Amino acid sequence: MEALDRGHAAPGVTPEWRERLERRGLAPLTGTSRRYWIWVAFLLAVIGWALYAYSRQLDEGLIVTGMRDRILWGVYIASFVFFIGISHAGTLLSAILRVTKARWQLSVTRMAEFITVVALLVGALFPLIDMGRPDRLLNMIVYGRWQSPLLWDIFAISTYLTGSTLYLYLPLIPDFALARDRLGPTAARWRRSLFTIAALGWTGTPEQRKALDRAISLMMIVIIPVAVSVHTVVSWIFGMTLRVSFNSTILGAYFVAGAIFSGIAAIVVLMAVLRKLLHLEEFITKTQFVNLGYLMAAFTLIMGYGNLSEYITHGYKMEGGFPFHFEQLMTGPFSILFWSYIVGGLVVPGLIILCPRTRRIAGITTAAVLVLVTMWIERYLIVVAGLRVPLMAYEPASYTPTWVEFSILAGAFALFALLITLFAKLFPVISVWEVADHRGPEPGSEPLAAPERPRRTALAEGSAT
Amino acid sequence: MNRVIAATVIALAMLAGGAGIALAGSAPTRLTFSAPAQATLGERVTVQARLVDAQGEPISGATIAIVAPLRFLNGGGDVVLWEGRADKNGNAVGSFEARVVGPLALRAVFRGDQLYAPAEALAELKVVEGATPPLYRERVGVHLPGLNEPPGFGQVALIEPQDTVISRALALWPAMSGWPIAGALIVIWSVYASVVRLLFRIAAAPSGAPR
Repeated sequence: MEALDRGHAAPGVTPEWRERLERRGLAPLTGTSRRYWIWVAFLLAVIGWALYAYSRQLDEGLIVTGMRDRILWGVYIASFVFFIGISHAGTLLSAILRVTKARWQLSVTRMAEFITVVALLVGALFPLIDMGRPDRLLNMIVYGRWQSPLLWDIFAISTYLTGSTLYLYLPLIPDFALARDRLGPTAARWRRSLFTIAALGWTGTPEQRKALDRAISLMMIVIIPVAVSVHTVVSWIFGMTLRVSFNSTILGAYFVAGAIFSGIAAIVVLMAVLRKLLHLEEFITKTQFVNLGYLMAAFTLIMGYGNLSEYITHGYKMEGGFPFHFEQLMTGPFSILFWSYIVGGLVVPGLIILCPRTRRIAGITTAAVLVLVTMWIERYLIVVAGLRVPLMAYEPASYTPTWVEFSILAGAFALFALLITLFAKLFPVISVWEVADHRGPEPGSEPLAAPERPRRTALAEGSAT
Repeated sequence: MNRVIAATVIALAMLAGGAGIALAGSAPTRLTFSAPAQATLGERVTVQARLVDAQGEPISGATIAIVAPLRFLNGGGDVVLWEGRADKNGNAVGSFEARVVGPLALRAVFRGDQLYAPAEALAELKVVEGATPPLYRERVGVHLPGLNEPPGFGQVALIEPQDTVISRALALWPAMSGWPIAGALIVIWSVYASVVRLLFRIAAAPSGAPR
């Protein structure tokens, strides 16, 4: 059986190029180095520490956190918003680019879709962690009010997670079939069984292609409004609360823009890491970095515009608690974080990408790292600085995250990295069939002489069936 | 040996005692309950219940509760409005503030104890809106029919005390409120279902060499 219909190749695809693509795409599935296991062990250790910290929180209650009655959301909810934000990386971006028939992105859509599913899984844990009594989670459903944005959030995230998982799985089917056919008898039995089952008997017949194309088309259309709704609903958790700094009509649009912005940065960082580790330089080239960099630069402007519009409107009127809010952000206790976000998250990344001398893979990756870090800070500012504005004539509260919160945050990032690490070992990180059928080799991209480590692989033997 | 016999006797005595209590059972009781027919919102309402045994003798010291089935948004259940003990004449006089407008199905409840069986009595109270506005209104912001107007709009609605599996399942359904969300979810999940159906089609397609 052959997973790929070799009659559908994109222009410029030679048998040798396709062979290299398939080999590179499937190589991570066939061997595991010691460094991989050391990395997994490190991540598990961090997660273990976070679990210990969470056990302290479960045992002693939320008193072990820095949250109190006035600033009642902190690192957990900021991280929830952050992770839900970067989840927009994959599905939304990949769907938009698929709808617009952009071909350059085909080699990175899989990574983007990984990020979506993993970020949603990790992000959805935070409200649960934030609950002092997680055993009452079901009450959110049983006694939930249809009028409450919290319930909308549950529906939106579960719907988006289901859709994203489907959307991740659909383009994986031909690649599962490819792995099934090419990994050969040397692959572990469980792995062969996994690929056989997940491939759904795919042989690339016209009937199967038609059904798959239709399924992907349906999903890419429906997933865009779902993704937009998710972060809009997340913003409404804040926007529909009677708090000075949350009183904004552009909050939904601003959150969606911020989500796409941080999502693009997450793709760029993951792309840079996997490209280097898995020797994918021939298939993930400067083109992908520069194009995503341009998108990121555009979003620095959109985010800057959003901030400017927000601050000018409220700053002009200086109504209610806004003088206090602006003071704490711009010159007060949050000023270092605030200006770090403005300068480090908007100005510097924009300049790095727009300047031709720094518009390189390393520069764009650096800009993406800056964006990711400062977007977390921005989420923190929305949550903590927003809640710090007094509602009545009392002294402003203070909030300092404790070791428990930092440990759980570290554990969440470790879980995110672990899931991506495991995904990269189980599934091809490049959508092999889409790149071969619809994109082909990039002009000027040369095969790199990446070191071939001895592997337990049957790839070199060609098709096994 | 003597110890064994003694232990056996004690155990039998205990069993017999327990059986005695069980055999004796709880004496039947009768509860009468009176409440004013009508009250104004915010008014303090005084109600009276009297608990007697089968012979009409008053039962003093019994705990009597005045409860009403109330609903707030999607939740509901019995709310205890007052609780107190019966005096030497078996009378329990309690009062509570009428906080909801509409007919209120009050129940005086004696939950029973080791000596006396439980008893309940009903009384209907109609609370009308007076000069004082309702103490709590849900209607804030923009009102979209069916979206943010829960049953019993502007007031706490009353429900019949039902606690069946079906009534609980129905309580999950948004009824009228929240229908736009429910509608959107139905559309999206229908598309997901179509995609899953296409997956089955892929799996069921005849395998063979690609054409």
